[in-house]
Amino acid sequence: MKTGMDKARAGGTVELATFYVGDALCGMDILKVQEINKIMEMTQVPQAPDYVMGILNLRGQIVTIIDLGKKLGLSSIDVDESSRNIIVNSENEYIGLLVSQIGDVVQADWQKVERPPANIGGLQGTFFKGVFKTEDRLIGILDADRVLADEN
Amino acid sequence: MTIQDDETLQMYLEESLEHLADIETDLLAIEADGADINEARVNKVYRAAHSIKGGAGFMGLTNIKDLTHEMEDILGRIRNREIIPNPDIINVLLTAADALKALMNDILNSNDVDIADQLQALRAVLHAHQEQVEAPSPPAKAAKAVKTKTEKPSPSPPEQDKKSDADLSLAFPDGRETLSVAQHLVADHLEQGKSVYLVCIDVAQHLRARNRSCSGLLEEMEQTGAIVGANFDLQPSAELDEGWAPDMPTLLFLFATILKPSDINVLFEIETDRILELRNDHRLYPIDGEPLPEEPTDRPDTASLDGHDVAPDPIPSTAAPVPAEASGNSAIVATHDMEDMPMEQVASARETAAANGADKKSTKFEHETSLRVHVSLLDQLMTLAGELVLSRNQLLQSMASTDARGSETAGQRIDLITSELQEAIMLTRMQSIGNVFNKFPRVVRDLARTLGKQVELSLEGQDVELDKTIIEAIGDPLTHLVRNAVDHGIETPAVRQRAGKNPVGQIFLRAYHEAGQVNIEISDNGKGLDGRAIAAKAVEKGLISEEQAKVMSVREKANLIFLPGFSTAETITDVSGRGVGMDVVKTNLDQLGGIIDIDSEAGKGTTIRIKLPLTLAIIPCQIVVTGGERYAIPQVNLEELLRIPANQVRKRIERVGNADVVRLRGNLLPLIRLADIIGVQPLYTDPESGEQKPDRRTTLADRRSKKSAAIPAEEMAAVADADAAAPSNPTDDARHGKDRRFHAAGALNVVVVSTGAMKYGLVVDHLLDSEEIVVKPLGRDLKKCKGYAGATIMGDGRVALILDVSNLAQMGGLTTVEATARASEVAEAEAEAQRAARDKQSLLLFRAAENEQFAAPLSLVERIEKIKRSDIEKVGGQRVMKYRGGSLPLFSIDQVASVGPLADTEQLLVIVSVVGGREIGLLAIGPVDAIEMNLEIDGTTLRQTGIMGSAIINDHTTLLVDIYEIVQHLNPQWFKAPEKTSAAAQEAATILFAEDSSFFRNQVKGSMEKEGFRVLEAEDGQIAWDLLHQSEQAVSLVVTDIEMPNMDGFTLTRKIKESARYAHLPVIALTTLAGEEDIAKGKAVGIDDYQIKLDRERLIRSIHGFLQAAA
Repeated sequence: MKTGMDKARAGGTVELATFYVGDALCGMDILKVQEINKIMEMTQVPQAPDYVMGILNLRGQIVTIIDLGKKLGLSSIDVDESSRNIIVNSENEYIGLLVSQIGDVVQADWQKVERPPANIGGLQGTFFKGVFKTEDRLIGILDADRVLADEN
Repeated sequence: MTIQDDETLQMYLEESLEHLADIETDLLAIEADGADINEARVNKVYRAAHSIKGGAGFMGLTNIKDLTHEMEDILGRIRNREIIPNPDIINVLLTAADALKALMNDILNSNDVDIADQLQALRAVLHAHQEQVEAPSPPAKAAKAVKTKTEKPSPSPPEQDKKSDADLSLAFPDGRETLSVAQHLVADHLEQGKSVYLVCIDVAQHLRARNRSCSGLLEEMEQTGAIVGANFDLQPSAELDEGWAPDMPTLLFLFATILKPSDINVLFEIETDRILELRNDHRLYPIDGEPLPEEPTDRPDTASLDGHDVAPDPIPSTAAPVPAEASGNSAIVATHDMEDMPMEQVASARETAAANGADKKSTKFEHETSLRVHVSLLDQLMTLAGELVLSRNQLLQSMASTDARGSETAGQRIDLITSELQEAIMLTRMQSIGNVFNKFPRVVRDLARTLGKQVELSLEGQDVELDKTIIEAIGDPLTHLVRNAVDHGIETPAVRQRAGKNPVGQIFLRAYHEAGQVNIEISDNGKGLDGRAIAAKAVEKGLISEEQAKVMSVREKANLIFLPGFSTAETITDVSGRGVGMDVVKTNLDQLGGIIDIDSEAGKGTTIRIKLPLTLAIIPCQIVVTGGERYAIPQVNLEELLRIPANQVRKRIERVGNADVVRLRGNLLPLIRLADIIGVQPLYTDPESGEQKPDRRTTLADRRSKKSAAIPAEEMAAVADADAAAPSNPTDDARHGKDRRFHAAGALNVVVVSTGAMKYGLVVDHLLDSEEIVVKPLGRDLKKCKGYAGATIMGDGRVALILDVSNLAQMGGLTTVEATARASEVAEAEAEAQRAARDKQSLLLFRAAENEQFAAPLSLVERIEKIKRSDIEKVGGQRVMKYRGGSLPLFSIDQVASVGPLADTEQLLVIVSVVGGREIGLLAIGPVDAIEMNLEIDGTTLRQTGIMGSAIINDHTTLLVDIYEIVQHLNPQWFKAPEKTSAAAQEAATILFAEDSSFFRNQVKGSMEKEGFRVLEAEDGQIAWDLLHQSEQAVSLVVTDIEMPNMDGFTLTRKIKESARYAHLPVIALTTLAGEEDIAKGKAVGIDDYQIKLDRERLIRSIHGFLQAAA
C-alpha cells in the first residue's frame, strides 16, 4: 500500500477512512483497510500482551484483535454498540484494530497534510504520518505499520 | 550463451538434477566396489554425465559442459578398467558433482562461476593415470620408482622450464630442517592440480612409538602421491628392508598428492603444525585453514614462515583435552585421552571439516518447488471433486425445498467425501523419507574420511512417507544427529580394536510407522554417552545443581544434552553442520510436533529416537476446557486421560515441596494446573444451580468446602495441612457452601501428556472430545506467548488455542531437570512399577462351586462358551459337548482335586483351551473376570493335583488351576506318545533355568523334569551365569526369566551370546507379557525364542525344537 501513499504524496489525493479512538479522530488510507466488522466474539488469549483483545475467526483466518486505545497508550476502548474492528493487512498478516467508532471517508489532498505535532489529543505524534485539517476537525493520519510494528 | 526458452531450460534442469541425485549414490557404490568394477553401475553414471553434458552443450552452458566432459572422461576409463577407482578419485568426482549441483542451482550465472579448481582436480586424476601408464614400472607396482618419477622430465609447458630451475629452499618456521628442491619439479605437480606439502616426521616419536616402519610410510606415500624431495637419500620403498631407517632423527619430505589439506593428515597422523602446504606462490601455509598473514618477504623464492605462533591456532592446548572437546558443539561428551589420535588432530580435522565448503553443500536440503504426482492420484482427486460438487448441489436443493432428510443425507455424503478428499490431498504431499536418508551415505563417508574413521551406514525404511513440509524440516536435525554419531559416537579404528569391537563402526538409520506416527531411529555402536561427564558439565554450567545430578537416572543424564545452553556453540548460523547444539535439534523437532529421546549405554552405543506426526496441517487433538475457553492438545503428546474422583483426590494427590503429584499405577506424576500457568480463573459447574463458578481451590488436594461438624477429625487435619501448604492464602473464607467433596463435580480432570523424556499431568476444568483440527498460525503479537503452538477453528466458528505442552511444562517450572528432585523418586517408583508390570500375570477368574474362586492363566484360554447343562452328553464315561462340528471333552476341577462340586446351575461356562494338541473344555460357572496383577503365589499350602497353588486375589483366597495336570491326570494316554520319542532323542539333556520366583521355578522345573530333562535351577541371572561356568554337566539349553534381581534375562543372554564358549546355546526367554518392544530388545541381545510362563506345552515343544536342531 505504500505505493498508493507515495503516489498521493507526489501530489494526488488520498481517501481516508476515519475513526475515533476515544475522542481522537484518526484516519487511515482506505486502501489499507480490508474490512470493518463488529464481531466481538473473541477468544481470549491468556498471557498475551495487554493490548491484545483476543483472536477471532475471519472466514478461516485467525485474526488478532488489538485494542487500538491501549496500543496507542490511552485507556482501553469500551466495547459497545458503536465499537468496530478495522481489519488491516500489515506485513502479510491480518490484524484487527478495535476502535470506538467509525467515521466518514474523507478525501484528503496530500499537499494540505501537515507534519504531525508531538501530540494529538493525547496520542504520541510518532504514530502519525501527518495531520489533515477539515473545516471543523483535525484528522491524525495513522501509520498503521508503525503502530503494529513489533515493540522491540 | 544461447539459452533456449525457459521451458526447455526448466526441463533440462529437472532432468539433470535427477541425474545428479543418482550420481552421488552411484559414485559411492563404485567406491565400495573398488577394483571389482560393476560395469552397469559405472555406465549409469557415465550416461548421466553424458546426457548432462549433451544438454549443456545445446544450451550453451559451457561450464557445465566442461565439467561433465572431464567427469565423463574419467568414468570412461574406469569403465574400461584403465583407472581403478580409489577414494581419492571418487572424492574428486564427488566434488565435481557438488560443483555441478551448485552450477545447476544458479544456472543462469553458471558460466560466470570459476570452476578451475574442479577442472584441475579432474585433469590431475587423468594425468596421474597417464603417468602411470607411461611410467615404465612393469612388475613391481609398488615400486613406482620414486626417483624415476621425481626426476623424469615432465611434459610441462616450456615457459615453466624457462622460468626457473632455481632451487627452492624450504624450511619450517623454527628452521630446524631445510630442504632444497628444484622449482620446476614443484611447479609440475602444482600444475596438475595436486597439492604439495612439506612434511616433517620425527622418526622416534611418530614412527617407532606407533610401530610404523619408515619403509611402510614411504610405501603409503608412494601410493597416494609422489615424493618430490627429501632430506635423505630417497629409494623406492620396495627396495628397502622392513627395518630400514634413515640415519637421522627427523625426516623432511616434499610430497605431492591429490589429497586435500583437510585430508592429508589421515596419511601421516602427526601434529598439524608439522605439515605445511606449498602453494603456487611458493609460500608455505598451514594446512588447517587460515592462510598466514601475508607479510612482505625479502626473498620471494624462499618460502619461509615467520613465527607460526602468529598463525591462528585452532588447536586448543593439549593440557585440557576434555574441556576442549566439551566446548565444541559436542553433544556427546567423552574422554579422548585413550584415543590413539592426538587430541589436537581430531580438533583440527573437525575444524577443517567445518571449513570444507563441499561438506556444507552436500547436506543442504533444497526446497523443491514442483512435485511429481501420480496421474491415478490426480484422477482420484478429480473424481472426489466431482462428487463434492454433486453433493453440494444435492444439499442446496434440499435446503431450498426445506427437505430435512435430504440435507441430512447430503451432509453425510459431504462428510464422507471431505475425509476422502483430505486423505487424497495428503497423499499428494507425501514424500518418502528416502529423499532425506539418501544424502547420508555421502555425509557419513566424507566425515568419516576426514576424521580417519571407518563407518558403515545402513538405512532401513526409506519408503516411509511423510508430509513434504516435515521432510524438508527434518533434514537439518537429522543431519546433525548423523554427523554427531560419526563425529562423537564412533571411535577411531584403533580405539575400537582395543575395545574388542569391529574397527568398522556401524550407524543404523531406520524409519517406520507406528500408531499413526513416524518413528526415526539413529543408532550407532560407538562409545555411547558418558552420563557422568554430561552431568558434570551441566553442573559446571550451572544448569543443574549437584544434588539434582546425583539423583538423576542414566537416561535423564543423557537427555541433559537437550538442555538449552548445554552446548556452547557460538555460531548458530550453519544449521546443516557444525555449531549447533542438540538443543537446537530439539527445538526444531518441537516445532514439527515431534518428540526426541536418547538412550545410550557407555561403550555400547547410542540410540536416538524421534517421533513425528505424518503431517502438520491437520492433526488430531484432545479438546479441553479451562476458564471457559477451549484448548486443543495434540494427540501426539497425549498419553492418557485421567479422572480422579472427588473422594480420591485427597488420597491420590500428594504435595512434594510446592508441587502436586498424583499416584498413577505406582508412579508419581507431577501435576500442573493449566489455569495457573496461563493465568486464568478455573471454573467449575455448580452441581445444584448449573452455574459456572470460579474454582478457588488453592491446592489441588483442597476441597471446595468449609469444615463442618460432619467432617471427621482426620479430614479436618487434612484441611489444616492444605492451609499450611498455602500460607499466602489468608483465610479459607472462600470455601463456603455445602460440602461437595463426594460430588462428581469435585473430580479432577487430568490430561497426562508427554514431551519426550518427561511426562506430566495437566489439570483442566473439563474434558471434551477428540477432534481433527486444522492448525493455523498465530499473529505476530502473540508469538511471545510460549504456551501456544497455534490456533484452530472449532465447529462453531470460534477459535481455540493449541497448547504447546513442552513449553507449558517449562512455564510451570517443570523442566525435566527442575523436576528432578521429585523425579528421582518418580524414576525409582517407575522402575519398580515396570519390573512389576513385566512380571504381571494375566489371569482368568472363575468359580466352580459358588464359594470357591479359581484362576487360570489367561494365555492358556482359547475362548469361553456359555452352555446349558443339557448340552453336556456323557459318552463312554467321558463328558463331551458338540463344539464346532466335533466333540469337546469336558472336565471339571472336582474330578481330580478335592474342591467343592460343580455348582448345580442350569447355565454353565466352558473354558476352552488346548492341551496336548487337542481342545478341551473346563466346566465352570460365573462370574468370570480377567485381571492382571502381580501375584504372590503360594505353591505349597494348598497344592494338590490339578491345583498349582494359591494366591489372594480381590481379598479371596484363589486356587490356581493347572489345566494340564487335570487333563494329564484323567487322560494320561494323550501325553505318552510325544514324550517317548523326545526322551529317546535327547537323553537327559541339561537345561539351565533362571527364574526368581520360586513358584514359577518349581512349576516350570517340574514340567521340564517330567519330560526327562535335567534342570539346573538359578534364582537370578548372576547365579545362572556362575552355574553355567561351574556346572560339570554340559548345558544344552538355557531358559530364563526376563525380570530378575542382580542380573536380568537380557543381560544374561547378552553375556551368553557374547562369550565364545556359550554363544551356541539356544536361549528361551520366559515372560508373562511379551510386548513387542521386549521381543525386539530380546532379539537384539540374542534371545532365540519367547515363551509365555505357564504355557508349558509350548515351552516344551520349543525346547525340543531347539535341541533337535542342535543335534
